[in-house]
Amino acid sequence: MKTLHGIPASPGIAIGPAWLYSPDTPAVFPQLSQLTAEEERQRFSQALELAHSQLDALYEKTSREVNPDAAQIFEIHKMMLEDLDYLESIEDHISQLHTAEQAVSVTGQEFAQMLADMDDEVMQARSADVRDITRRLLGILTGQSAQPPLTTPGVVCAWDLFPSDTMQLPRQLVLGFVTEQGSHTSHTAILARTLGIPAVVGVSELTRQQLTGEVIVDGSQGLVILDPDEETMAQYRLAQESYRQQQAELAQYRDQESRTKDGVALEICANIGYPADADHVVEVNADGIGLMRSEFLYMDSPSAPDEEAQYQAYSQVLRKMAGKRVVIRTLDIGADKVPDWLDLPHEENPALGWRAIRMCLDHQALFRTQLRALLRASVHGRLAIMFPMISRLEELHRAKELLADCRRELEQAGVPVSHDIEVGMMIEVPSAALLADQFAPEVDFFSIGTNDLTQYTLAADRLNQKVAGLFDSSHPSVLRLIAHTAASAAAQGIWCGICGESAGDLSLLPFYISVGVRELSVVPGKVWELRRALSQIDSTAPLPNK
Amino acid sequence: MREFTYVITDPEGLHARPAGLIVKLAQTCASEIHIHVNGKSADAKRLFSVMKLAAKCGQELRITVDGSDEDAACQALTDFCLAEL
Repeated sequence: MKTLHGIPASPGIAIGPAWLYSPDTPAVFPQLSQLTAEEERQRFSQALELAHSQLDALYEKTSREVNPDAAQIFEIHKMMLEDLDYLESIEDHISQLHTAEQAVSVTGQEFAQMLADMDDEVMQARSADVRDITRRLLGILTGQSAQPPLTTPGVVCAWDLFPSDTMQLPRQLVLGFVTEQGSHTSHTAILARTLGIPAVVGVSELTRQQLTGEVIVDGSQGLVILDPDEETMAQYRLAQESYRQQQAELAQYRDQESRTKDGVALEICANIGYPADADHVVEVNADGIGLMRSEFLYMDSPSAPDEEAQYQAYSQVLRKMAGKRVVIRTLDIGADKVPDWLDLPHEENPALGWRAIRMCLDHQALFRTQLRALLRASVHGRLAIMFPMISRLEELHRAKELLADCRRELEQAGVPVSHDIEVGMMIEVPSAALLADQFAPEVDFFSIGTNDLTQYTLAADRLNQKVAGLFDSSHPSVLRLIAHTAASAAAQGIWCGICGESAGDLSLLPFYISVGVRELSVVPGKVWELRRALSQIDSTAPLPNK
Repeated sequence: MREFTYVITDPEGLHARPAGLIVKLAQTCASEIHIHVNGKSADAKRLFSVMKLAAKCGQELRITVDGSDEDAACQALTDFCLAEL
């Protein structure tokens, strides 16, 4: 038995015989042609035509079996095959009386190398696509197929897998994927997750192993176990069975309403950090986005992001969510998270320092740019704007005044702004929770940030190992603040949600419901689990004593 | 000749998929179209050329359009950038 470690790329457990996939066996062909250049040109254009029809078929199959987004890659392959630089290079070689095979092979190497040498990870990964099309053309030209087909179920082990490999392999026979190359975001990883096939990538030394016996793929832990002993095998068979049952059961909750057993409706929403994450939210069918962090725009940018860039990003998410509520939190940075272009002084205690709304109110130009972008984007969906780190009423008043001012400015300039924008605040500072009844008449909603609320209430930094044990989101003091906040919201007729990590704490769910919390926002992967837990709760049942 | 600028907001930048789409769109236009960024420029009708730009999120693209259908092409490219980048 031997255990290898890699990157967990697609969750689940696969058990089966290893099947070493090595399609890169070089085809054999002469470099110089016995034919005329015109005849080689003919051979190439026939091969090109066949490659196109193969790619059309793969596109079709992937669109149907996975989704059109995943199929896009084969469109890219077709475009590579039509690229003028690429075709000119091939023509160049053929006119020097090289065989079509040699022309394809040399051109492919050059273009793959050019991408591999780029200082950009995304483009480096595309060099695999060039090798993929090269292999396809060479296969057609030489008539040599390097690999015997997979005929019985197995775990595919490879140095690397091209998108076309992943799709061409018979799906019902592929139990799992293990590759020596690759990252969490490589094509194989994404496809495997979409198809629900367990996968571990980035397993160093994989192809140096004896891959002849049984193999266990633990896609959740990133483990690959070769020739497992009987005990390990038995454990994993059990784990596999329970994982499968769990997944099958959870998937039913995708299209169910978020209600308790006795019919109390909640919204189970998702937290996101990047616009692209909205796709995942749509996939799991969450009831909305309960927290979209806007920091990515500021942190990943070489300078302060302008209004247009922000407008585009917010609009994109609002459109994707098609009318479901999207709560966007205004900028929440401080001395612990500083973008390169902003010169923030060092602080001894950044958690209690000049951050979030405090900084925005002092840096009005920066704040107004964001508010204007949000207001402009509001016409593309159902927007809610949320101010972070509010600790006093004056801060809320000033933030709201600035927002109203930006709205007037835009309206006077004839720019359309929605009239149904909700404006709310995070409850994460104990003072705000304690005065929730005074804040409630001023906002449309509260969203409780339990991470900071817990840290500030218990004066415990959870990143500090020595006091991490004191950080407890279910401490009675924290729960009392949550209860007061939710009750104040209910008395005012506004909604109260939770967007901190403990929103996903199933043991607190009955408590949240009993105090009147009506929205919970968690990572997209937790939405179904929470929906299931909710459906099993009777809100009229007495709470266990806490 | 017409031109416009656009700042990329897609966190992954001008990666393969949008590069493919923009090349496809450019190929339907009669005008000569070039994309300039980072001191490099590319023929928008050539995929590898556009990919070599490696344009990232937050960077500003300058797109120049020169030819008989430049108004329509410019509009189509602007719409594309707004929707996809």
